[in-house]
Amino acid sequence: MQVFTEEQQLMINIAKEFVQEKLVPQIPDIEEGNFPANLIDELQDLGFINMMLPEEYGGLEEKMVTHMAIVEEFAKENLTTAIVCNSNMISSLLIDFASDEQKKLFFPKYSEDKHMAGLGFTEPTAGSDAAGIQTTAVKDGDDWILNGQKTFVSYLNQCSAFLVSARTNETDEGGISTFLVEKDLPGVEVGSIFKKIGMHGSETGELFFKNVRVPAIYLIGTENWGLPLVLKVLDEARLAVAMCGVGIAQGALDKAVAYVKEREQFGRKISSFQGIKWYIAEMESEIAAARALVYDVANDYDNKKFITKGAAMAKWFASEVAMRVTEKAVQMCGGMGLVEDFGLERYFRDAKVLSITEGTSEILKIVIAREKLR
Amino acid sequence: MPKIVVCYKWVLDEALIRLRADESLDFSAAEYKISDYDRNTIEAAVRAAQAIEGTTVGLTFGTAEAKRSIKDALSRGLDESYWINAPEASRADGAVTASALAGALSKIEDVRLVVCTEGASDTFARQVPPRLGALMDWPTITSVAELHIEGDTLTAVRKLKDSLETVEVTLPCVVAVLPEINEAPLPGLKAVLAAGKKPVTELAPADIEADLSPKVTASSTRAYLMSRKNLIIKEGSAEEKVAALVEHFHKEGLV
Repeated sequence: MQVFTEEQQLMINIAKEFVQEKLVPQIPDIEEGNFPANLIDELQDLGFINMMLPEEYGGLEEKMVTHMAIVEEFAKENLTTAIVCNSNMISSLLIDFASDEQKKLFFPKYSEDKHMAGLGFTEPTAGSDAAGIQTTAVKDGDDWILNGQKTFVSYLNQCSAFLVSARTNETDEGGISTFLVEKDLPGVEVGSIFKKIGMHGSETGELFFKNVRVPAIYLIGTENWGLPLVLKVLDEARLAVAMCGVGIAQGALDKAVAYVKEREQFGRKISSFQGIKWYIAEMESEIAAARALVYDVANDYDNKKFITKGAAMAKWFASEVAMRVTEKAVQMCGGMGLVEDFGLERYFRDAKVLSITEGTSEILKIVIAREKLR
Repeated sequence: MPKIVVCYKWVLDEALIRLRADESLDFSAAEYKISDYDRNTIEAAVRAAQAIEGTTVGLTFGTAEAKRSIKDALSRGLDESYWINAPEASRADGAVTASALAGALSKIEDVRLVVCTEGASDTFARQVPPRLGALMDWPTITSVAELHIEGDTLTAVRKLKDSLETVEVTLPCVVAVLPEINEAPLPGLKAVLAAGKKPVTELAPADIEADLSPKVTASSTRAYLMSRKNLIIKEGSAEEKVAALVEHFHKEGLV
């Protein structure tokens, strides 16, 4: 079991309070696609977002394990908020790959000024195959001219910029670079917003680039060597998604347990039936195992170890656990499990998102095997 | 610099106390927390300190368990903390708690105001503030819903059963505030980290002049069960159902 310091536990308690007092009353709005603008501001004011950044860039230098514990608390109630609750998606990447000049330029905006930045890697012909992209960036004086499109871009409503991968060279040596692209640049257009099964608070859809002029300083990392940077972002994102799986599963189980302790059939609480007890035992054990795996990898991250394999393992396992647990939770609650107002069916829908986003379960298994066979 | 002392209690989270079949209470899964009402009390003290350009001091009388309350309280905006670490706190009645707090207050210089909650969220006995005021020989104001300080004058609005009463006292004094006095903000994470660097003074019973012998001892604690009406209004339109519900409330004398 992960052991936390007194300070870490206080932070987790604050997250729990925030979730119950501020987030839960707003979940119906979030589910309707109206993500409250002030929610991100409040999270930023309390210090959740960017908590892992160095103090000089507005962070608290907190550990990944604290971040994970807080993600779980948010995911127990709402997936959309859990993903953005305490990590500006590009901030750790900027720490690792941005020049000092870029840090000075970007951090005031993305830490103090409450701007969020998202990720735009997937294209209609390049999803799991991140290297198969067709978006191009061509140098023109001090700028780059970006053309192409991204799809399945999440948080289009909350983010003011996106880290975008683009082909900058056709040679076999890399050839992909990553750019931080502001959404309000001329030529950037938001396309269709997809109606999807879960994660309703995040607008997910298309982003088009038509002769977008991007200043050279917005190229993050080394020209033509953006793919390792994309993969590093994915490692961290996969770990967070894994913990979202743990949180969704735990939240669903807790709701189902509360129900079966009250619901009576044949003159008994249905929690007294062996079939239900077996479900609960299996669900609780699987969740504990998934949580232990996530913390194991998070501790590796905090100890500066390579987490590509671990993050893939954690995300594959936890997202599959979330699917199994939420399905059983709905089953335990019978008809009520299907009712929107009861609040459990959302967990089932959201869980399905997890085994696809940031790498499908099948791709993750390829990653795990590839790393093991090295 | 003038000091405002806020007294708070480290209590078991009532939401996690379970009821056994024999109506006894199961505390095994209950974690400790700062009494919900004391969060507002602490916020009232922080705001009062801003008004008089003073500093805030947290003061708690508790067992060794209460040590865990200190950083939590400090993260809510207090400048320093005093903790009376006494096993006697586990069976203290209002007289003992007031005596211990008064003993500790004598160790803190330049106290201009003591802020307590009207009643702790576990017992809600409402005894400590009046007893503390009496021991200090300071004016005491209870049921405070609003608080203003100007110079040496404290003005409080007391929320009574059917009226609001405005009273004035000259500092120093003791006030017992209602939770509605403010909306206590959640502490920021930076405040949590800063809390560990603030000064904390631990006092043992031997360090203070206090009578820690309870006059009232609790012999048992049992839950009482609410009997429910189990009334279900099934017939009629939504309007008719609401009308039937309101009629029922009238019959029961609830409205």
